[in-house]
Order: sequence, then C-alpha cells, then structure tokens
Amino acid sequence: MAADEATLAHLMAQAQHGDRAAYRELLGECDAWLRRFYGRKAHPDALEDLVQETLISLHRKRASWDSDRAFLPWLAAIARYRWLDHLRRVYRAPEAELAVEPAVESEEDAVGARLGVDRLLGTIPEAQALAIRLTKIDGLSVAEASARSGQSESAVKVNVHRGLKRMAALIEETT
Amino acid sequence: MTDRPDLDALADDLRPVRPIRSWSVAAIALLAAMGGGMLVIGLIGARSAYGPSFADPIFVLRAGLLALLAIACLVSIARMARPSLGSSHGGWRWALAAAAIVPLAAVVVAIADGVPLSERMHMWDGMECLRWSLGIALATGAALTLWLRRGAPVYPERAGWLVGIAAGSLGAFAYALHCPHDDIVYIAIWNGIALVAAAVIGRLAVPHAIRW
Repeated sequence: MAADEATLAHLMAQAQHGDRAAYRELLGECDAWLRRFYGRKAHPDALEDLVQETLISLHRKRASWDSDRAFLPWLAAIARYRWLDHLRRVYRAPEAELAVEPAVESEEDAVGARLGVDRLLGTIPEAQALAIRLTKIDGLSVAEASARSGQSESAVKVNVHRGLKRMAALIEETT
Repeated sequence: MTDRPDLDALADDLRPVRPIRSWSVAAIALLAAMGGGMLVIGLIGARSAYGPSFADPIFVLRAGLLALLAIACLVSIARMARPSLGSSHGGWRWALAAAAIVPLAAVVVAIADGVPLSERMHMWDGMECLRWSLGIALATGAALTLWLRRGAPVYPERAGWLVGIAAGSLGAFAYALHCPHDDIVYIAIWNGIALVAAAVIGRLAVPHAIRW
C-alpha cells in the first residue's frame, strides 16, 4: 500500500537530517508515486527517464522542501516542472503503444491524479492540449499531428509552443 | 524494499541539508538596504546635509513605496524558492501597481505646471542616482540569485524579473538617503530608469543562473 502524506513528510524530514534508510524508503515510495503521477502523460519509453530525472531533482533540491508544508504538493510541483522541461526537449518520441491509464484505486492514487499533469493540460485551450498530446506524448510528427487533428502544420507548432508556455506559467497555481 | 541500484546510489549520496528559510532573504535585503544606505551616506553624504529633511513627505512616500515594492518582491522570491502546488506569490503585482502611481502622478504634474523637462532632469545628479542605484542593485541581485540557486523555482523568468525589481528597489532606496531632490518628475524619471534597467538585467541574467 502506498505511503500517505504524513509518512512521506516524516521520511523527508528524516532525510533532510541525513537518515539514509528513511531516504531510501522515501525514494522507493516517490518512484512508485511518480509512475502513477505521470500516468499516460509520458511516452512509455520516456517514462523511465522522466521518473529518474525527477528523483534526481528531488535529491538535488531537497533543501527546498519546508517541513512546515505538505510534501506531495512540493513533489508534484517538481514533477510538473520536470515534465514540462521534458516536453520542451522532446521533438518526436519513438513510436510505441501508449501506456494503459492506471486505474484510480486508492486515496493516494486519487491525490496523484488531482495533482497530476492532466490537470495542467486541462488549463490550456483544447487545440493546444491536443497538439501537445499528439506531438509530445503520442510521438507523432508535426505532419501526422496535423492530419490527425485537422490543424495546419504551422498551427500545430504554434499551439505546442503556446500551450507549453502557458502551462509553464501555471505549474503551482493549478491544483 | 525492491532491488534498485539507482535509488541505492541516491540514498548513499545523501548528506544532511539545512532547509532554506525565508529569513535569509530578509537578511540579504536588510544587509543591502542598510549596507547600501551606509555606503551612500558615508561616501556622498546624507540628503539632510544639503538641506532637505528625512521627514519631507515626498521622501517618506518615495522611500516607503520602494521599500514596499522590495518587500513584496522578496516575499514572492522566498515562496518561489520552495515550490508547492497551490502556492500563491502574486502580491508583488499590487505593490508594483502602487508604485506605478508615481510616474502617473509625474505626468500629471509635468503637464500641469509646464516646467520644461530639461530643467527638471538634473542630468549630473540623475546619472549619479543611476550609478549608485544600479551598483547596489547588482550586488543585491547577485546575492539573491545565489540564494535562489539553492531553491527550486519553477518560474525562472518570473523569478528573474522579481530579483531585478527587488534589487533595483533596494538600490534606489539606499540612494534616496542621499538624493536631495523631492521633485516627483525627477524621481519618476531616474528611479523609473533604475528600476526598469534592474528588472531587465534580472530577467536576462537570473534565469540562466537558477534553472535546474
């Protein structure tokens, strides 16, 4: 069963004091949480890299967590930042089947879904979200995305650019 | 626990860290305002030495608005360093709107009293204002940037603007302790240039330094 907010916050506080066993446990929990968090909003081939990059960010930026505040919203902000950074870097992911949407089975999963990248995608206009989903997540080329969405190729590029910019300005605001 | 060498490696690399605290930003700001102010007064003299009082209403308003703007930006910077979903740091916008009343008032005054701008600019003093304000702002901005690097700001560009505005406000505040001019048009022009320049420098220089 996934650890709850209080447990994660306690482990992180211990980790900030240098407790390696607590930190290792926290990393395991965060690894699982991040896989649920990114869900199908990361290409399967990219998911592993994304989780790794986020865990490394957690490691490097662990001083930025304030023990007076909740842990998961902090981790989610870092994860969203890494996800957007990843989308900017990805021009075209290799072809592959989409991951299966994980079923929301527990309260912890529901928290993950609430804080997740879906919410961020939901804040931008549908045309922009579609262009980002097709090119950056599903791995289609601009031409393929244009044919699939009915948007012109230049509109796809503009929508991707504007959508990423808009989401980048809303990382913390959207809950 | 599952066998995961990558996670084991991160755990092995763990060292204790001191969580970043807001008071350290306050300390940087206080040091900038007090240190800059003492430097200004020590090297070029306090405004009271030239006649104008520290109790002059225009001076109080000017210093108060600059301090308010700096504080609002610093609060946002401190929150930005510790990201969290649902965190709000838009208070600086209201302080900036309040400060924008000064140039608006300056336009009204300049039109109403008809004194030519060339007579109000006092170029020599204005350039001195810029040199001091921006000099103190650069040192303050560098200290704020170094502090912010320890954090995890998710809006690097916005953080750049805020570092620039905060540092520029503190620089202009420090120089105001010397500035003998109480003409709102003069203040709007030279403080305005200093603030805009500091903000642009912050926007251009800071994001590269704090991106993670």
